[in-house]
Amino acid sequence: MGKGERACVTCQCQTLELHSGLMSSCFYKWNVFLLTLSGTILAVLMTVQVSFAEDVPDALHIQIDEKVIYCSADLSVENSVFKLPMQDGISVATQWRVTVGKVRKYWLNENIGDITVIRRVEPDLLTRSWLLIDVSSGISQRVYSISEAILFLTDLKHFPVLDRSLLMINVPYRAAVKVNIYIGEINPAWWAGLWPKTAASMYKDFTLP
Amino acid sequence: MRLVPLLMASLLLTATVMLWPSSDDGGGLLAWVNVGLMLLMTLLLVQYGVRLLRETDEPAPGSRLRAKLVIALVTMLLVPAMVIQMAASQMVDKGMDVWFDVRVDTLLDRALNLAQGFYERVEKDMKRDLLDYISDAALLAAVTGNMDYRTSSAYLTEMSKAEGWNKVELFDVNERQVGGIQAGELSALQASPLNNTARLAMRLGRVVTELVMHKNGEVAVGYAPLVGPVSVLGLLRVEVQLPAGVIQNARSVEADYRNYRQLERNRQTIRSTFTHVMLFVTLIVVLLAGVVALLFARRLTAPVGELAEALHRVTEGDLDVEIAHSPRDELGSLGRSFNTMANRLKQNVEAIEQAQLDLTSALDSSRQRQYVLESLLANLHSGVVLIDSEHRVRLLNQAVRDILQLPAEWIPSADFTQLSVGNMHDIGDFYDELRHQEEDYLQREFDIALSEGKTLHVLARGARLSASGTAFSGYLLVIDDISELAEAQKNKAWAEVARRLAHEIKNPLTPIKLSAERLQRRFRKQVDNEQVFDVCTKAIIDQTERLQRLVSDFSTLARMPQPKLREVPVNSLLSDMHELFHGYRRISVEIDENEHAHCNCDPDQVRQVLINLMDNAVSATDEACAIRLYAVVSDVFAEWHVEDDGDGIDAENAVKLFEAYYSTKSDGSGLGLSIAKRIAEDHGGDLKLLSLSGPTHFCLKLPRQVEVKEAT
Repeated sequence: MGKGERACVTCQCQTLELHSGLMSSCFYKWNVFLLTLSGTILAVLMTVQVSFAEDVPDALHIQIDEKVIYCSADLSVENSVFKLPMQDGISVATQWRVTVGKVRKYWLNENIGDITVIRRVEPDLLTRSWLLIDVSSGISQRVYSISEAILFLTDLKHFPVLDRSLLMINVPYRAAVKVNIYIGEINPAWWAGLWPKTAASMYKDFTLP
Repeated sequence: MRLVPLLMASLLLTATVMLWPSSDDGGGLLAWVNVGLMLLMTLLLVQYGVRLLRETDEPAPGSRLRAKLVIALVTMLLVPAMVIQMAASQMVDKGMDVWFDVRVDTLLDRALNLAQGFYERVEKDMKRDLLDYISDAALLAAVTGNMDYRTSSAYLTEMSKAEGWNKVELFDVNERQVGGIQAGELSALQASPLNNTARLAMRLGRVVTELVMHKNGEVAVGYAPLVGPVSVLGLLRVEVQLPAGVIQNARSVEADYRNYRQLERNRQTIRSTFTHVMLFVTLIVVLLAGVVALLFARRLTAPVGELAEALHRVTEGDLDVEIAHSPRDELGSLGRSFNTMANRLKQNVEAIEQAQLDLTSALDSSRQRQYVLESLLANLHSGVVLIDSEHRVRLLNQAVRDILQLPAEWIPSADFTQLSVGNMHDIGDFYDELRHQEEDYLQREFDIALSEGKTLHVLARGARLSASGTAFSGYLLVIDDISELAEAQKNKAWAEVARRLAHEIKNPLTPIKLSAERLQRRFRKQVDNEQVFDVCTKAIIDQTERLQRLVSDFSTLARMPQPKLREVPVNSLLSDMHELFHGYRRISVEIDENEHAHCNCDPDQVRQVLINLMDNAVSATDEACAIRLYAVVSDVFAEWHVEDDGDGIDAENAVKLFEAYYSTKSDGSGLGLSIAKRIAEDHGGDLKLLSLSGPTHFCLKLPRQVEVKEAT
């Protein structure tokens, strides 16, 4: 090294001059590395943390008739998860996101179709009744039994998902359901969906008969 | 100090673990953002701490000061921020305890119970009233078609007024409306169909009520099956408009209750969110403060670092360093002062380097001179002794040692006055005389008796070295061995005497001798006393002959011829001596028949020497003493030894034995041994008296191969 040339004290790289600026190349590289490292660690931890709802195979049932693919799923959570807030008059909703994809061995599955169902129960404390609302269709029904309301939230029965003509015979497909639970009103803001709280995740592999 | 960043990192990591978001934590994304920020800060601290630990060299100038400033500034901000956060958390906790007080809870429960009681009361009243009409004959007649429409409408109106219903409708078993009245204006042309609740009431045969939300308010709807003798024949549906004020209050109570419960359910989430928001703000503030502090510290320490770097380069010898950017403040003044100092230092160093070059050059010159002087002194045949004012020997060359045969203690720094004892006494006297005389120069010739009876004739010259002319003051002694010179001068003098004798004396001697012989022959008969005449003339003749021999010897000494060298067998000279002296029984010449060595010499001159030695031995000893002559030959020298068992030679005489005109014989010229010694020296050899007596031993030693010395 010549006159005035010293190794970088930050990372010992052989730069010609000492790093004096905040955004000098060495400082920038080092901090980008740190940011990347911390971000990666954080993302991994978040993924691990968020993925507490483990994928459960075969908890989803697929019914296939001549024209339509149906699915049935049961959300296995404790009744208190819904019962307590409902008794306090807090509306509760479950969001069922059903996706059907073609299974690919060495790549991500090809998405064939997906549908989202939101079911909400609005308690009426004065009349002690429960208004069951299918948000997607707008159909509502008032019931006077809390178990009926909970069943409405936790049981998806014979739900039409896909037209059979979209699928091919002897091709493996996977139907998956992710269920999110909302206690209280669903936040309509765009960023609210960035941090979903998945309560259950199920899938079922099938082929057309 | 180096562990502080790692310690802080461990504390931060501990805090991160403690604040790690759980699945039921209400922090959400913000909690993870906080964790990310704390991990980032931990990584930065770990990176800095590891760098500090691995740092072996001197850190970059100003980095420590910058780190301390950043730490100080961040700490100054972090401490109050943490205090504020803790205080705010406490306040939130206290506030939430107040908000969610049990009294509020009880109050809302009671209010909700009141509202629910109102609805229950309405439903109960409606059910009780409807029970009265389940088996009403008029209504049964109306639904079975046994009553005309006017009569039935009048009956329904009467019922409505009696019970306070706002709307009354009558349906047959086929859910076909058979009659109905409504208070106020008609809301719809067609009757609304029966819902599931109504069908359920008909199917079960029970009175059922429900609350229905209409555009103009809530309505309590009651369904009463009309039961005939056998089966249900129809359905009575009534509606009561609930009072708007009461309903509004009841709904408000319900809404408040719902909101309160929702807030209560989110109590932990609110607290957690508040904590994470505060933590996020604190972390952002700390990070921003750190960045600002870093920028500020960098701006503050950059001149210091630049100055330290410049000083470091100066200490490494780079004097061309200059601080380019000098702000207009105290640090800038410091930088300018440094530039001035460096410039002056550079000038001084250049001057010193120039002086060093000059000194080096002078030193080289001085060393060269000293080398020349030492070489000169080493090769000089004159002995040189330099004595300082402390009488210490500062310098003496090898010639001094060779000439004076100095003992081992004669070394530089030895005291000259203490060394000048014994046979060196004369040197000490000369030095004393030089020191005590007024003049700066002294020259003396004197003899020094060395060991083995050798006498040295030296010429000593001394000079006083005064400090005025040179830095050194002392004395310089130059000693020359002039023994040979003196000997040569003496020989020359004797040669001159001989030449004069030959010239002035030898010529008259022959006429004197002839005249004396003529007188003896012609006037012997004429004298009165022949005996006296014979004695006198014989004395004249004998003395004249003696004078002739004397003059002849002197002449020989004066005109010593150049040796005519040739290869001569050593034994041949012994054989010559044997033939010459074989008449003497006491003389034995020992000849080694196996010795065939030769010597490069003039055989006549060597023979003359040997004859002289043998002759001296014969004349100095009586008949009983044996005389031996033998030769010893080595690779370099050939030696002829003459020994006799006579009385020997006195030591006093032995000193002058080889001097010219010194003889112990009454008729000797005293030139024999002088001539013999000159012959030996002319051959490059020597003639020595090895022992004075028992036996008296002379040795003629000649080199076997030698250049002939120029005749003196």
